[in-house]
This record gives sequence, C-alpha cells and structure tokens, in this order.
Amino acid sequence: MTSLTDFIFGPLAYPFMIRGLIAAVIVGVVCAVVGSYMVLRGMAFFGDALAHTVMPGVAVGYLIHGRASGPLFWWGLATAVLASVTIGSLSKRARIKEDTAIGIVFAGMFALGIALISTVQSYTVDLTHFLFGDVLGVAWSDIWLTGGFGMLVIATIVLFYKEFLIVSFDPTLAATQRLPVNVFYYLMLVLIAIAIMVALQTVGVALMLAMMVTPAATAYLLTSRLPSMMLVAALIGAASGVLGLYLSYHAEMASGAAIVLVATLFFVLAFLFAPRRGIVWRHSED
Amino acid sequence: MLRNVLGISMRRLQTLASALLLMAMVGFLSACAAAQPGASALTEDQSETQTQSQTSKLKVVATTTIVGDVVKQIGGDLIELTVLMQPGVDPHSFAFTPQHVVKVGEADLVFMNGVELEAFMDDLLTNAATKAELVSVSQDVKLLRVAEEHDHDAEHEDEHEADHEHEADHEHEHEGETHNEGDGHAHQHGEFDPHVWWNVANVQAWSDTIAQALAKADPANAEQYNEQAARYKAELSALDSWIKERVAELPASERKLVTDHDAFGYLADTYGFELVGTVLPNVNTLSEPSAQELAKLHDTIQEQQIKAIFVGSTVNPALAQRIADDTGIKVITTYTDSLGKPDSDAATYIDFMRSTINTIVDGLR
Amino acid sequence: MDYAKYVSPFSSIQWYTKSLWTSQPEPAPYLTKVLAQRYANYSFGCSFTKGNGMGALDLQDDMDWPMIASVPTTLDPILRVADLQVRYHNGVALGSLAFEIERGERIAIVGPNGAGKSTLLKSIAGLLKPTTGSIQLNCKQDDTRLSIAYVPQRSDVDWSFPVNVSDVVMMGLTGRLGLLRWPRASHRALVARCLERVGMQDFAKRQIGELSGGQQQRVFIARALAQEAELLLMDEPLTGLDIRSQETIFKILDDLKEQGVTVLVSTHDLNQAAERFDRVMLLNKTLLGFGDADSIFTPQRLAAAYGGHLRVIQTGDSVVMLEDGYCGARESETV
Repeated sequence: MTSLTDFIFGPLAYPFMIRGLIAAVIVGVVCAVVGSYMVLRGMAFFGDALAHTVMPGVAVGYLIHGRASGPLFWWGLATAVLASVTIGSLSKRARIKEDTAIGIVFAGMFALGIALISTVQSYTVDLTHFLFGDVLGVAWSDIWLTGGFGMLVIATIVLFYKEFLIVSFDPTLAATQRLPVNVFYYLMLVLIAIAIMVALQTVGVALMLAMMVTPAATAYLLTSRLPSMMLVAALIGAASGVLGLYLSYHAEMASGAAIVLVATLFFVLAFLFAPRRGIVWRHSED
Repeated sequence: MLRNVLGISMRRLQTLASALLLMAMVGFLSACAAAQPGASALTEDQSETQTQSQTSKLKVVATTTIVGDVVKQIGGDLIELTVLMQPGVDPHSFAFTPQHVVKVGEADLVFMNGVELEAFMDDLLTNAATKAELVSVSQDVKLLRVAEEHDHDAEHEDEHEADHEHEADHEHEHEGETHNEGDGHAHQHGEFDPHVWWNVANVQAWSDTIAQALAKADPANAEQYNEQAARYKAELSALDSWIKERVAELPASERKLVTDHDAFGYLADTYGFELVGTVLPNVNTLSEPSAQELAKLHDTIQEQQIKAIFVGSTVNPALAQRIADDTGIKVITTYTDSLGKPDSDAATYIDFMRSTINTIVDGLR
Repeated sequence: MDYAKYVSPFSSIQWYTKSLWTSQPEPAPYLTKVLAQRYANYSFGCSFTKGNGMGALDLQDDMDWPMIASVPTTLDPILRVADLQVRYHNGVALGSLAFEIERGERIAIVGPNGAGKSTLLKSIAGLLKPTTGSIQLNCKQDDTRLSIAYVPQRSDVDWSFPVNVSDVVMMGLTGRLGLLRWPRASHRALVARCLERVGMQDFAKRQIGELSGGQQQRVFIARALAQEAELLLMDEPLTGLDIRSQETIFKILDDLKEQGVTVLVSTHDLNQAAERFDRVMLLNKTLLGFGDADSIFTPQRLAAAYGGHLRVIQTGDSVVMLEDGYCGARESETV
C-alpha cells in the first residue's frame, strides 16, 4: 500500500528525522539500562535532581565560554558527576536520608546557578531549558557524543554486571566477599550522572527523565530477572522513541511529549495486562 | 585490607571534592560580581552625571532600551532619565530588582512600551507605590494582531496598509489567532503584537505621545520638547525612506523571511517582507515544534529558495542551525527586542534599525 | 503437666497474667520446658519488676557468675572477639564484648529486641566497623582470610528484586569468579548441587518473592554453600517458620556441622537455643553469658538480660520465665 510506505518512509526523507530517530534510539536504550537500576533502588528523584544540579556548572561555563555548546557539555558533565558523588557521600556518612541529601544538594546548586547568572545579567532564565536539547535538533556531532558515552556506560554495566547486582541487592554479601562496595556504589552514581548528562544534552529535561524511569518500570512488570528486565526496558525505550517521533510527524505533536506519551502508554498497558502482575490478570484470577 | 584503604581514601576524596566545589563556586561568584561594575545598576543618562543636583529636572523612567532611547532623543538634557533594562535584556523575561522599585518610586513619569510587552509592570507599580504617571507610548499606534504561523502556501496576512483600523473588521483568512500563552519564558502576548517599533511610523507616533506627556508634566520646557520631537521625527522620516530604498534593492520575490520565532510582524507588514515561516511554532521558548512542522519548514525553505534563517538572541539557535545545515542555508543573527551596548552598532534606535535592515537585506541578496 | 503442647515456635509471644498466686494459674503460652523442669526443685519468692535492673530474686543457692561458663575442649578458635564495641549515632549498640568461638561449633545468640544480635553478626561479617576492639578470624592459621556467609533477616531483603533462586546462589560465587569473569557450566553445576543439598533444586527458576519463608532461608543457605563458607552467620532464620520448616533447616545445619562449618544463629526461642545448640550466648548490649545452656539460663542472668521484661510465674512446682514485650518493649535495632 503506497500510503503505508509513505507513512513509514515519508518522514525519513528529512535528515533531521533520521538524526532524531537515531538519537532517540540511543538515548532510549542507554537510559533504560541505567534506569533499571534507578527504578530498583528508588532513585528516580535522584535522577530528576541531578538534571538540575548541573546548573551552576553550566552557568560557569556559559560565563566563560558564551553560548558555545561544546564546552558547556563538559562543564555540565563534570558538575553532574561531582553532584552525584556528593549526594552519595552525604547520604552514606551523615545522619541524613538519601531523599533529604538529594533535596539539599539539588536546591542549593540550582539556586547557585541562577544566582551566578543573575549577578551578570538581569534575566534569570532557566538555562537548562535554554541550553538543552530537543530530539529534533540533534546534530551528527551530538550523535557521536551520545553514542560514544552511551557505549561506555553500557559496556561498564555489562562488564561489572555481577558486581553491580550484588551491591544493589545485598551489600552485606558484597562485604563478606571482600568486594569494594564503595567503589561500585560510586561508580554506579557516576554512570547515572553520565547517562543523565548525555541524555539531557540530546533530548532535554522532561524527556530524559521519562526515558530513565518509564520503560524500566514497564519492564519490571513484565520480567522476573534483571538481565531480561534491562533488555526489555531497552527495547521499550527504543520503540517509544521511534513511535513517538512518528507520532510527532503524523499527528503534529511536539516530539518530546509524543515520545513520553508513547512510553507511558506502554506502561499503562503493562500495568493492566501484564501476566501475573497486571491488574486485569489479578482480577481474573480471583 | 584493600577495602579499608579504598574506603578511607574515598571519604577524604569526597570531602575534598565537596569543599573544592563549594570554594570554586564561591570564588567564581565573587569574581564575577567584582568584574561587573555595577552589574545590576541602571543605565543613567550620561548628561546627568556632569551636573550638580538639579532638583528641578523631571525624573523619568523608561522600561525598554528602545523606549528609553526615543525618550532620550526628545527629553535630552531637560530630564533625568533612567532606563530599567540593560542592553541585551529580553523584555519578556525581565525581572526587576529592588533598585528598580526605588527608581520608579521616585519618578515623575514612567514610559513603557505597552501592548502587554512588560508583563512585570503591574507588580512593579504596586511595589513602588509611585506618584508617577504611567504612559504607554504605543497608545496611539495602529496595532497588528499577532501573526499566525504561515503554512507553506504562504498566504499573506499582513499585507494591509497602515491606516486600517485595528479592530475586528480585518477581512483576512488567517485572522486573529491568539497564540498559546505558555508559562515560563514567553512573549506573553495578548491579541496584539507588541513589537511595534519595527514600523518607523509607529515610533513617530511614540514621539508625539512622549512629547505630549513631557510637556504636560513639565510645561516650562514644553516648547523644547516639541521642537526636539519634531526634529527627531524628521530623522525618523529619513530613516523610513532609507529603509524603503534598501528594501527596494531586493526584488519582490526575494523578500521572504524565515525567523526563529515570531518577532517581525510589523517589519514585514510595513516594508514589504513576507513572513514565510518560523522555527518555533509560537513565541514560547518552552514550545517545541512537532516533526511535521519542521518538515513543512524544511519543504518551504527548499521550495521557495529561502536564503537564510534570521534568529534573535533569546532563543536557542540549535534547531534553526540544524534546519539551515540540512537545507544548505545560513543562520543570521539580528538584534530583535533590545538595543545593543553603547559601543555597538545598535546603541540608538536609528542605528538599531539600520543595522537590522542592513543585516536582513544583505542576508537576502 | 504436659508442657509440650504449649511450646510455641513464635518468639516473644506476650502473655499477661493478672494473678501470680492463684491456685490454678493459666498455663503460659510461652513455655520453656527445660527451664520448668530444671527449676522444679527450687522454690522462689518471685516478684515483678518493671524497668531495668535485675529482678529481685532470692535464690537458695549462691551462684557464682562467670561470663564464660564453659569452654570446649578443642582449642582452634575460628573467631576471637576482644573488647568489641560498636556505636551508632544514637548510642552504643554493643559494648565490651570478648569471646572465642571454636571451629565447628553451633552457637545460638539470644537476647531481647535491641540487644545487638544483628549488630554483632554484621560486625563479624564485616559490614559494620567496630568503634573499638577487634575481631580476629582463623586465629591459629597464618592466613586470616576466612570465608564467611551472612544470611540476612527476611525483613532486610528486597523480595521483589528481579532475581530468581539460581541467581541468588550464583551471587555467592561472585568473589570467586573475580572481576570481568563470567560463570561457566561448572559454576552453574555447582549452583545446582548447592540447591540440591538444601532441597530447592525444583525452585531454581522461581523469582525469590514467590517462595515461602522456609524456602527463602534455604536459598540463602545454598548461597552460603556456594561460597564454601567456613563460618555461617544467620540472623533470626527461624523466626516465623513453622515447625516443619524449622526442622528442615536444622537438618541442613546438622549436615553442615558434620562438615565442620561453624554456625552462629540469633534466635528468640530459648528452648531451641538450649536444646539444639552447642553453646548459648546471652546478649543485651554486653555479653551476659556464654556457655552451655545449663549455666547460662539461670534466673539471674536471664533477668539481667531481659530486665523488667521478664515475668516469673510459678505454676505448681515449677517456674517459668516469660519474655514480656508488651510494656515498653524496646524497638528492634534498625541497622
């Protein structure tokens, strides 16, 4: 059917669509894999907060370099890594719960960023919106960057899979096996920071967060083992990206919102119909 | 044990890192504050500083740099002028400081652009509890409705003459669609486009309004105000002619404008440009275009052989840059909502207009 | 009286009696049969005490009260604790502990909630660092590396984590595999064997949340087997299990004992502690006794451990001691 061919291949005539699809797939996969750990350890708030803690770093970079987006990325990345390690160390050492530590660091750093900008010019624009991305606006250089870091993150998770598994599931076992628990704890935080920063640069704040959490939560309902959970999450993340962009094209919807809506729809379907865990299933068992 | 060693050094490292981060931030903060002489200070009229305090001078406050410049041209040395915004500031997301409140409180007269450009005005006036009279310089200007984004058939909306009424008896197809008033950064338009300064005739109307208000507040100098207004209006007429000449250098088919967002309504309407498309679908920087809208823009640029996308300084140019790269055209930056710094080529309104027109015309050749 | 039917597997079942001295007292729900028989020949003047402090018990024989009540004959301590103290932000969890444990022993650690049983086990496992003092392992050998397995309290485990039974046992091999190594067929075979030894081979692919309490314990024991642990620490493994499950666990522990694995188990069940374990450690932030049950389960020590939360009931000729958590029970330590 020509209309079906048009439907699928029409958008591909535009280079920005092709780049957008590639970026969405890469970000979807990387975020889903990292997001699996975040979902299991209850770190969704951490992810959101981290996206905002990059503000002062980006602000400093902006003051020094102007609007060139290259250096800003590195400033943001350094800040994200530093912030995540700080939050991790606060919640481990002090009597502060992780939740509280996140709130403190997040609000403080965000305010610092705004203050830095506002002392120089009198508009207190939220730079994260100003500087961070839109999946339709990725350049090929962004894709290389995203792809490179994405591969680094996934390779690390795969290589140290069993260590991360133990540290997440049973830290005492890790201690009895003389595993350096702290090293892997902080390594995971750094990986999360990298994934967040890369996704932020590519697709923006709201989309990044949804890509971290929603596909992983959906996969959690559908699988019972961690490797399959990460795989299913990655597939759902990629599928949400592709379908979302097509939706944006054919239904004239904002691209980021479309992707998030598709991902959420997947979650709702799983929530209702997942075997053994879905609501509908459980009702029919009664 | 290795674990112990790692544990201890990680802790020291974290404490050190946190301390360094804090110190670095504080260091930058103070350095920046020190490096910017009076960063949030207000731009005072230069001629004021050389005199002893002349309490008889009218205290005038202007909101935007553009309004401020026109007021300065007319008021000159006879007034004590303070402009709230610095060059380069986006009027739509401007946030006032306590110093601004004080200045407004002391003022006799406050000039603003009007047409809902200054969203902060109500709050500022409430806080200042001023005795000043508030004058919207655009009160006598013939306003255009906010332009709708054109589809790639490029039907004109704004090709109407300057003496149409601005009420609802426009007989046009794509009429009067108000944009979404998004939150966050926004040109928070009502129904009318506030960027009236792109039509020089409007600024002439401003001059009259300003002269009138100054004369009323300071009758002793009324004559001078009116003289200076007349002189300035003559300069503006010359500017208007000059603009028309420059635009005439472009053949009618070459006057198509693609911009990052919707800022040039009056420019297009008055001087014969055609607004073909925008990158962002409405004037809210939080908005994102859908893939289809971008695709249509892409097609439009190719079909109509657009030469450049014009962007201002308040929107992330990344999207515009991508489309430009994909279609092989340029991205050109222009001044939009604010004058440039005093040492730039857009320090006054007239220079600002010249610079922008030159950039546009040269870019479209 | 047949007390057997009142032997309750549930720890800390609280029971109040209004009248101590009624002629027909209610049989207590929580009975320690052994104690009842042991003290059948004593007559006590008993009284309730509330709050801390020792019970005012008059005993006919004068008890001399060493902390370590008995020492086994073979001297090959697998674990030596000296002057151990563990502090948390809100106070001391454990203070001045000193004891030795021999290889192959099966030790029960008893004490009220908040006594520091979990803290002690976690310190031995290496998860918590002592504030002062030392924990020495494998004292006679030159090599102080000891393979330790810790079986956590069921409430400390995230049962919804997406791992199945095999995955949990395989985790025990992580240390042995080393970094950047993957499990091979031989490792998987080892996991299968460990599951067989605890009788869980049919459940290999079940997600851990789908298991019953006893099955969950057995999975963690299988993990300990995979670790080839020489020292097994179990935090309240029998709590909440029915008798059959408990017996299954004990059978496995007997099996382990034959192989010379040292086992430390914290429990609330004094009866079991007395009957099924070599030595008993009575703990309430400090060491109140360590030795065979006869010497440790004396009214004086028990009162010191359980404080005012111990009720002494005279039922006919015999006396029973009840742990009472109703009034002002201390919160269990959150670790």
